[in-house]
Amino acid sequence: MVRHGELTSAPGLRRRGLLLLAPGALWLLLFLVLPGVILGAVAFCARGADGQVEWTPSLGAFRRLAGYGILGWSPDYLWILVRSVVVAAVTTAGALALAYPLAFFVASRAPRWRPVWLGLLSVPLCTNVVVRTYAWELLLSPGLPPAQLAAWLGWIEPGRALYPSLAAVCLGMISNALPFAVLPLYTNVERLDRALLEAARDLYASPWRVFRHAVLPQTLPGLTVAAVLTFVPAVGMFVITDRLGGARHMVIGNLIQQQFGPARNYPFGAAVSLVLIALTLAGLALQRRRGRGPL
Amino acid sequence: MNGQGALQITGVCKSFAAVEVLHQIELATQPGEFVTLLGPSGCGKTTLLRIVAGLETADAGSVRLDGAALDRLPAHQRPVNTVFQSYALFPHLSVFENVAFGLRSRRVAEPDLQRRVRESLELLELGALASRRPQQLSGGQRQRVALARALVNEPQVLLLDEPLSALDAKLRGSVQLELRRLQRELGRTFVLVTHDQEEALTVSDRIVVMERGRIAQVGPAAEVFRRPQTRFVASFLGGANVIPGQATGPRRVQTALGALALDEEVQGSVTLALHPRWVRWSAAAPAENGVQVRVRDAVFRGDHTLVLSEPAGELALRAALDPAAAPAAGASGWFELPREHLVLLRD
Amino acid sequence: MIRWLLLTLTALCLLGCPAPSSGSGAGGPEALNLYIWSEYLDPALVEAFTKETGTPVKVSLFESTEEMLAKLQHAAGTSQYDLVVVANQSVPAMVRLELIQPLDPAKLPHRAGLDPSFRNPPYDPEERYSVPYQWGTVGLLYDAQKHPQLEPSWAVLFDPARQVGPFLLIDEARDQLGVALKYLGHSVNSTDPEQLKAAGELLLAAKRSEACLGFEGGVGGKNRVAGGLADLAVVWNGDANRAIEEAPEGKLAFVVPREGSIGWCDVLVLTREAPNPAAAHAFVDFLLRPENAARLAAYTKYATPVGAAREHLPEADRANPVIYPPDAVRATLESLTDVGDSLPLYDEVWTAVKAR
Repeated sequence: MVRHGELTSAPGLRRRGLLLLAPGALWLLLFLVLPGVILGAVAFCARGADGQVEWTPSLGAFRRLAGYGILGWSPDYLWILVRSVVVAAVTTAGALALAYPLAFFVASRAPRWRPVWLGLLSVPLCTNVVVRTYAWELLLSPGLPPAQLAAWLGWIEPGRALYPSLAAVCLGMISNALPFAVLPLYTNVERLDRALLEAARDLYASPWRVFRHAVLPQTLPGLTVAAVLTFVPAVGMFVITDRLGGARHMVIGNLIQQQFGPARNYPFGAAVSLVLIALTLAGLALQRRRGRGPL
Repeated sequence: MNGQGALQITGVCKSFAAVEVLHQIELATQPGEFVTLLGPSGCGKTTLLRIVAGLETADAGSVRLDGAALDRLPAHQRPVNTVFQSYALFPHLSVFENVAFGLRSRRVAEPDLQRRVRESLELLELGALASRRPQQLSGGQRQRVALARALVNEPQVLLLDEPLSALDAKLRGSVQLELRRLQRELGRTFVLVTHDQEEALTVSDRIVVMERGRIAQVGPAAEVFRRPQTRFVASFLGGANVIPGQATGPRRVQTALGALALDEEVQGSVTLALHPRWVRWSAAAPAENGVQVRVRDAVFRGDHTLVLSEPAGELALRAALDPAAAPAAGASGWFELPREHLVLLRD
Repeated sequence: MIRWLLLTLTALCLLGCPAPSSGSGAGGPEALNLYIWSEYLDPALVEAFTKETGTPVKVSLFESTEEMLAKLQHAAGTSQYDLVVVANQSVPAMVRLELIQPLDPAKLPHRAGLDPSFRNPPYDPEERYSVPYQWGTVGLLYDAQKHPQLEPSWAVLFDPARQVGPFLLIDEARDQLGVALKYLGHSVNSTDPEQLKAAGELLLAAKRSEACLGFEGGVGGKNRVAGGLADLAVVWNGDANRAIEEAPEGKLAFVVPREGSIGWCDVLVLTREAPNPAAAHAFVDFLLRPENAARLAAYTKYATPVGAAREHLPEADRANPVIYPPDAVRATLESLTDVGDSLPLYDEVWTAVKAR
């Protein structure tokens, strides 16, 4: 029911707007802002001897994050951060490289088959990432064709699995990220202005020039969304790197999990989380600023 | 390099799925001619243009330019350029770079490229906008950039796919004249696609009227307008009155409106066409070819009033009359259908 | 409020690492609420207890010590559960954090049946808070067909000249660092920064070696060796025993290296606000009865601390050196204790191993 003036007068609109906004705002407040504030507060607390949070202001967590430990300074945390970013960057690059042609492939199917292809691409999302990772372990285990082929080619010792290895980590990470890269790219590619492609061809452009000037600029928004949706979760991911990489090298996700887990150091874990969140936000802000400028 | 721009289209057919959009098209243009493909949407005119551009492949037939077959050349190797309906300017490139695009694709040396782009921009009065981006331009400016971008390549044939349809009516009128002037100045062959008969009449040397994948009539603009050969051409250009009848004498035809005299000799069943603007109104019966009518509706159209008669045997007449002398709805009087303007149609 | 939020926060931070949530909520007013690792209690014993006493038992499961501690600390778990099974080294901290309360010795007559080595343990010298539940060791599970003459030493992991591979380390900081400390001749509970640093460097070198496949937690190491993916792995003896029994005769073997190892013990504790302490005591004493203790151990394939239960054990288990190591081996075992303030040091060393 729309009462008189409700949708036409400014106060009415404002009232209705607030009403519609309230559930979402409440949700954000409860599950984003409040935990965020607590996370921030905990990061500046001290760890009690038994792992409890001491509500006294302390910069201990950040001092440790800067590398100043009990045994002296070490760049360990910097390495963990750099490693996480590199892993995420490689994942993003790989996923985008695969998703780009895939998006074009799906968009070029007959309209009634497109949902089927999109469905097939999204099916992996129905299972938990841990289950999918175990599936990769099974696929890469000895005795199955991939490992046998690798052994026959002399890449691995016969009877061994293809994991733990860097290649397995990439495989797991990229396959995990692929749906998140394909979907935004697909919606972009589907609405591609084909006239621009034709104009480029009409103006004697080589296939590369057609791609560079008619296709790429048009898919930049989709690429940006796909990159963000791929990169951000990949930075925090540790299940796949652990399972398929042998848990040999820590990424930032491990560090956070370890602090809220066995190490029972909530302030330090919160501090690491804060840095991760801050980096993500900074990256997004940078992306937005670049996006706003001339393409 | 400078060819003539004589386009020869022979036996071109094209179907999409089971739908035939072009049937055995035969068309030749003279060098430096302004030819317009005119027809309603779906008549195949754009498809024909795209086949010439190389953006579609014909199922049969061939397209030749100054004697050389174009059929096997991909779009980017044909010496023709297109101005697209949506302009299709590259949004990430400046006006200058948009215009330079084709020259850069062909690796034209930088000094030459700079000069030609500048000239082209000057020709279309875009010099001051060279560093702008397409998003920062008005519709008319974009249209001119699209033209400059095509013309800078000195194509032997310039193809224009409804290039004015996105402009408002007032602008459209001036751009039409501008196009005409440009074509005359450059002396190149222009092939324009449009559904707007006024535009076609304004710019063209010759008009090709198309109907459902076939060419209905080809001829100089004035001829196609004055002497339509088919009912379709007659009603599409100017919305002519189409009057069927039966010859009763060498120059006499019996119609639902009565007996009409004409200049041509006829026999058997005939169809006559008459543009509304030739119909005259008078309160008393005219000497010849008078039809007594009751005015059903009179619509003021600015420079004329469109008067519709009550139908006589399912045939209603339309007359474009001087607003000062036009009757009001409900009035009774006479329409005179001057014999010198009655056109005999083929079908 | 803050506690609740902290728990939410923890849960959010742990998203992505699957922790099947343990059942929550109590089962009725007079029910006994037990909080325990999964697959660590014979359901038949629970039935027998209910039949005997009329007290229903509600069993809730956790997957990690951290999960359990978070629940007790922040989610009113101390009034939700009566009994919790925890690792012995957690006991002092739980006392300090006031999560558990003393047991009444008068209600635990069968404690007398405990093996003397489990009486008055260092983590609970006066036996005020805990009763041993099961115990075991950390050692090496290996492919005995590929390595019939495996040297019974941690050197197969840590000495480049004697390394056997591919091998897997255990993804548990205290256990893996404890083993490295033991190899270096130190206590598994060392809090000496230099000793820990050396242990960390030892682990780092082992991790970086060609032969190392990485770290595996829980049953991972066992599964990898059983599946032929690794030749040896650092594992808990119960897991090793299961793998050996499931594998063809003579395929797999388990050894506690001669330098010594960790002897761990899980214990039962009573929460501070236990709703049903009487039933809790009854259940603890029920489990201490020799025939029940034997039944439990026969189910878990770990060792029972109840000496009097030995004669009730299946013959195969009693004679199994994987479960009940010979006295000479037992003498080399050291149990993990609470390192308190030094946990951050362990964490730092462990992080360095994993970061580099």
